[in-house]
Amino acid sequence: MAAFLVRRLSINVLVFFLITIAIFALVHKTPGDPIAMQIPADQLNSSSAEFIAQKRAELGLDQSLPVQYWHWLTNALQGNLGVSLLNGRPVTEVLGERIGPTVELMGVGLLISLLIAFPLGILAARRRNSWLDYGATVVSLGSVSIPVFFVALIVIYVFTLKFQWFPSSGISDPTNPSLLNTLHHLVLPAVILGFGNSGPFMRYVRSSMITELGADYVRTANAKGAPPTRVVLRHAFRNSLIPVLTVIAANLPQLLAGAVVIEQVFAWPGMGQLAVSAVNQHDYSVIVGFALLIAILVLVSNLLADVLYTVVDPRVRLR
Amino acid sequence: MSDGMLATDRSYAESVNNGPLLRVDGLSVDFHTEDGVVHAVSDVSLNVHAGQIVAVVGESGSGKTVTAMSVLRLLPKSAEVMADAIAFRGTDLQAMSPAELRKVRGGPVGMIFQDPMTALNPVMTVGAQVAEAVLLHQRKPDKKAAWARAVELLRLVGVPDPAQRVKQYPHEFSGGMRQRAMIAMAIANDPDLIIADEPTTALDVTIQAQVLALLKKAQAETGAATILITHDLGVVAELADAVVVMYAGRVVETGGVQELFANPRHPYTKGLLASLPRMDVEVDQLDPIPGNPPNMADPPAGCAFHPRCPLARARCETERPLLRDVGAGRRSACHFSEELA
Amino acid sequence: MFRNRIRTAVVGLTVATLAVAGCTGPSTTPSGGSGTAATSLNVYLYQEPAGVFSPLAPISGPDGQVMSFIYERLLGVDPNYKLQPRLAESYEVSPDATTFTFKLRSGLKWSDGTPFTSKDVLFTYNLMANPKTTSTTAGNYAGVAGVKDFVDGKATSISGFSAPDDNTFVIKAAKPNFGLLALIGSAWILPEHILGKDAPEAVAKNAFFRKPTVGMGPYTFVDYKTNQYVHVTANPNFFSPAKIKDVYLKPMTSDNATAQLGNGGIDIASFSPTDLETVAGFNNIATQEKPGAGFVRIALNQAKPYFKDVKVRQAFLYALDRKQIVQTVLAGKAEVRLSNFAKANEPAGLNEYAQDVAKAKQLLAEAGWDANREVQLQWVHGQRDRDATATIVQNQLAAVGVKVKLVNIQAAEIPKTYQEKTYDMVLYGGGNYAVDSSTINGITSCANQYPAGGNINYFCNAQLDDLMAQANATADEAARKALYDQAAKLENDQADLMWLYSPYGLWAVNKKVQGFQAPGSQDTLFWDPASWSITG
Repeated sequence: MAAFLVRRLSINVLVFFLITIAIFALVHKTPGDPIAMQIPADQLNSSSAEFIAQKRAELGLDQSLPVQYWHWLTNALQGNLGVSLLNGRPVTEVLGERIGPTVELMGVGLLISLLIAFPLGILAARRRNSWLDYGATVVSLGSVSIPVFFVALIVIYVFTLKFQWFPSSGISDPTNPSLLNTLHHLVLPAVILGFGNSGPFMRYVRSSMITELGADYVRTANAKGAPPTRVVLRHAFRNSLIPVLTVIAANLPQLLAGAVVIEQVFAWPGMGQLAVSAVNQHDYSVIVGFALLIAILVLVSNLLADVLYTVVDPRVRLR
Repeated sequence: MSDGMLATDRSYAESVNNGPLLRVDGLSVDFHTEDGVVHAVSDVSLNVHAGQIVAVVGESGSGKTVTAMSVLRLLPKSAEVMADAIAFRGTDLQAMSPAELRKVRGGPVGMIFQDPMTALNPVMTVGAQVAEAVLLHQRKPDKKAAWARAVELLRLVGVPDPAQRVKQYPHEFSGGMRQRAMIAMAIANDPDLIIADEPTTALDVTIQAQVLALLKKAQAETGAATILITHDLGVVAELADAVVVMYAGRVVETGGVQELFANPRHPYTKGLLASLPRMDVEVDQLDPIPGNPPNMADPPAGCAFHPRCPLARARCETERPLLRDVGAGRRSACHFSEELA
Repeated sequence: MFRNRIRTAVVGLTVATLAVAGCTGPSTTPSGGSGTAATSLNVYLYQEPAGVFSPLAPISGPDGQVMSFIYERLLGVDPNYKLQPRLAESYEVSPDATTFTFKLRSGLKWSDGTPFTSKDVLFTYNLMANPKTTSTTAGNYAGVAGVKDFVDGKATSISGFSAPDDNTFVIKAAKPNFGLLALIGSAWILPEHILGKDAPEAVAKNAFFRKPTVGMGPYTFVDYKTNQYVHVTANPNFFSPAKIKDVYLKPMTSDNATAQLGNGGIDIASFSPTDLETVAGFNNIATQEKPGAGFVRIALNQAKPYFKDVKVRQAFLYALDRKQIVQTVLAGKAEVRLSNFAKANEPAGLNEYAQDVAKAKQLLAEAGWDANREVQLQWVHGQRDRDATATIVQNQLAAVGVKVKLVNIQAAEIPKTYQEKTYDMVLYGGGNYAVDSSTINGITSCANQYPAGGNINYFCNAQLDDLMAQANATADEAARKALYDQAAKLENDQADLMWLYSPYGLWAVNKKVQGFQAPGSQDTLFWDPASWSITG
């Protein structure tokens, strides 16, 4: 296992480097000057040009791209990702204070999507071609086809306006801070995120379960006198998890993409909002930092998928 | 539970019910497929007495496996099972609720399947699966006792170093050892009846002999009756007391193994025996039965065997022969079985 | 065994996310807040603040709105765009418009108790005028006497700023410049006792501006939870103490804000005309509207030969039905503009350029407009009204024979098109020339052509410049009015810009809030928060 991990990690690191080069080059090559655009046209005055030039020099934007990359790399390896072009704050700080809420949202969202997908998938597989199966298919198709922001807007209208059961924005009420309050704010965004991701998972679970339910060992379990629940859960389900878990792990970046949209709609103070405004304002350092995070997430989730596979399937254990 | 007590139990049971351990009467199984209805099994009857080994012989598609599976209702939902009676120890299995049937499965009736690689759960340890067989039938679930019994069972079936092996997964066992484990599961709760579906077919020849020996030993020690499904006449000769020959979903001949081998009363059985390779006689060529097994979706009219039968006559094409007594506990479904006497 | 592992993983995941949840919410009870509705107010911010609450930082609408709670200045600008004395009790302008004398209120203290004196004002103005501080508005102070010498290194301080005593502050202009008052009279005053020790180059980076807890404003900064809320609390030392204890300014999407207006999560919010019906339908909400100072306009690049002819520019105006645009695009919640001058400062009798297709065609013919020429109209996509307006303009110009191609552009790319004079037409908005008309010079004078100033359409009319200069050179109200009226008529005739419309600022206020006066747009500073109160 250790040798496997080391090998995978070294490949990942190489890929990671290539990604940083690509992102850096692409971001800095986008047309437009982030410093110049900070001054609206009707507020230009005689000192503006000098201000812009000074700021650019200060941030090193007047150097050639490879030089800039080199500086960035050497700093990054020491844990310094530069400063935001907008407000001068260290990128690590800016990202750091937003990552918590996003992880929270993604975590609970993932949990909810699994809580929807697993039972539905198992039931649909057991009662194939029944009304329950068709219903589950409709639900899963809906979760995939209906855009997340659309669902979110409807939910906001119904649940926070018509019936005022939930707050519609923010992570908590500043005048009433408590874990319960935070959870209250978390419910709607996490449920919508979870629902949106549950569709594909449910389909995977269902098809995996159908395959396993037709397997010989299921017949053996029945022949031993095992009750149906035990056969489904303890035998078939455990086997069906093997492909499903790896798919879920590899889908984590998808979860992040969904979280970005939800965060916008619900004013959830996570990385999604940061990313959108950084891109709009051409805040190079933040964009690169954010893209880096995603790259790490993708690499980690793929690695996780591979590791999970070996953990879950005893036939693939590495010696 | 000692074996001695078991034997008394059985004869007691039998004397009370005054009948065979397992009685199957008029069993028919239809499969509803997209291409129409397939009559996999038609009007099959067989009896198994306590301690008896009955071999059910036939080619692939003859309906022997389906017959065996229908006893414990292990067929898929697309199968329609109809029988006048499927009675075990006098109780009709068809009338049982699922919960009651589950008490029979893996308890008084144990099953051994053909391919132990797929028949064992790949993500559960062998020990867990054997212990599960015990746990499911304990009055009070006792995991420790079940695991201990699992180790003991593995030792019984000849798995070396059972205390270690019990924690291993099926893919870490060899083919023969897996089948031993399956046998261990089947006999875990001292069954009265073992149904073995082609237990050696998936194994290579050298292992086959070992597993067969094991089956013999298990049967001898537990005194269980056995239904042995196979297409291998050599296995039949080794183990069976009685033989049921099936063709195209029907029983075509029954009888004791010695008599049947010495004196087959159905052209199909004769053909089977003739096609066996023999060590003691020199032949230039093997002598197979000509033709192919019938298409069960559209079987031949009259006697299903007539296209391949050396004795076939006009009558065979239109009139299906009924299974009838031909003397000395023998039955045959052929219009011209006298000619083979 | 395997199942246990899965179970542990699930439990671990739940526990981890709950732990994170516990840590990311506010960790301590805010001091002094009992959290009852009557003592706290929730205000909507249309955008996330950058978090640098500093007059030296690039101008940012939401940051500015926060600053309007925690800082104060010599003169404030009320919702009618009139200068009002704030920290200054009164002010005087010399008749030749070169000297501005401010009498400060006496006995004022900073929120931390330190006495407020003219020393703070002097310090602030010296800082703001010093280009070394990297302030984007340093150029506004170029008109102050002695700035040039200071910048060139010939002097160690700016002679134009002086504080003869603790309660007096005097600004001297390099030459007569009435508009200087509006330009620099409303700078946020900074605490000398906190920032005075920093070198000018370093002040802007002082951590004070991230947590500016000392100010002269009606409220004091408490906390900014990034992208959640800014919390400010009433400042007992303000010269007219605030009635509402805590204010939370919360950034979110406008849809969310509208929903929160309905369920009471937000008490004050700006909204767009499309939400008018929804907001008006809320029982607990009253709406206010106020004409804005900024106006949406199209600049025609007069560095290009075909826009140099005034007939072409007038023709473009005649081609449009701006009243209809306002009706269609903003449901009538805007006013059509006829010049760069604020409506309140305009003379009567300006050319309305009401739609006249025949006249437009005639003017184009006279100017020799090439019917095959295609011109590009560029703008930054994203605001509903501007997106819709662009399409309507394209159609209406097509009806008089002008081919227009619509081009979406990113905000970051725009400066380059100005620099290289490559654009044809650009649609944008904003601008505030309402406080003093002299600021219009910034976008019309020949000397202010980009990049020296904001004249991005390379307009140049010496006569207009002359009138504007004369008007700015005197403190005589009547004289100024007469001169500006002439300038307005000239500018209106020259059609330097295609003035479209000024959207109204639309604000929704919870009925329990009294005293709120709506500003003219969603990004304008809040006026006099100390006067707001909550009833019931």
